[in-house]
Amino acid sequence: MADNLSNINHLEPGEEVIAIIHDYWIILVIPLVVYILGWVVFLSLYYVVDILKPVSFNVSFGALVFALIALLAAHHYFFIFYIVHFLSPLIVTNKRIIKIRSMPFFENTVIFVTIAFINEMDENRKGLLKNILNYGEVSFNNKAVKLQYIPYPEKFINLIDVLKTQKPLSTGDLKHMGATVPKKFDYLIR
Amino acid sequence: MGTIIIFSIVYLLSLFFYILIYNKSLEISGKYLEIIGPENQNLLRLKTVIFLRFLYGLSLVVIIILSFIYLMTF
Repeated sequence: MADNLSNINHLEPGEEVIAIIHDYWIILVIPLVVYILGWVVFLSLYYVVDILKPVSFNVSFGALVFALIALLAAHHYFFIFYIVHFLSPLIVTNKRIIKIRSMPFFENTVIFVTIAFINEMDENRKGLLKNILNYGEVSFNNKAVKLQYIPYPEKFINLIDVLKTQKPLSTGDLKHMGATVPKKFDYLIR
Repeated sequence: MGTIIIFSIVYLLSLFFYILIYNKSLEISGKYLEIIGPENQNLLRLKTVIFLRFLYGLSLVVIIILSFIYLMTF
């Protein structure tokens, strides 16, 4: 990952950040459930350990070790996932789309899409939840590049289209997407 | 004695993992800042990341201390 990161280009001359978009919050639900389950397993096994102690020391000790490992695993999973989530936004500039996602030992993704080279854009929102909560997958150039968990994918596609066709940026709309934009592009989120 | 050794290994692995993630998150946030430039620093949710890193370490220490206290009374 260090090699990948060090090879990433900085913004080119004339390139400016338009928006930074995070993955949709739904992605954070599973780690939270796992963390809560980790605490439930931990606390219930600690209760069981006390009951088992007079019966078998080895079994109760095994349960104690298992409870601790389960909690620590859930703890690491939860925090790593959340930290990676907040450190992996999608950067949209007037020339490129940049996505870096790095989870030590598990994931190492660097995506650069030059907007001028985008020919096709697809939006995929299959499923009840995706349609109710307005998030989905956006793919470029016959699904050569896929971006998942994009909030309001139709607005995202519209923004890329605006940038590609060099229409006035004011025709873009990033409201309700949770995007952060530089001050001069405030109208995109208002 | 064996009990303490097993728990110490688990604790050390956890702390090692924490340090690894801490360094990696610093590296990635630094890289993002390099890409987007310091003028756009406020666009990244770096305060949230700093808070999460703090909470991650703090809760890890709390878990280790609590479980160690329990182990001593076991």
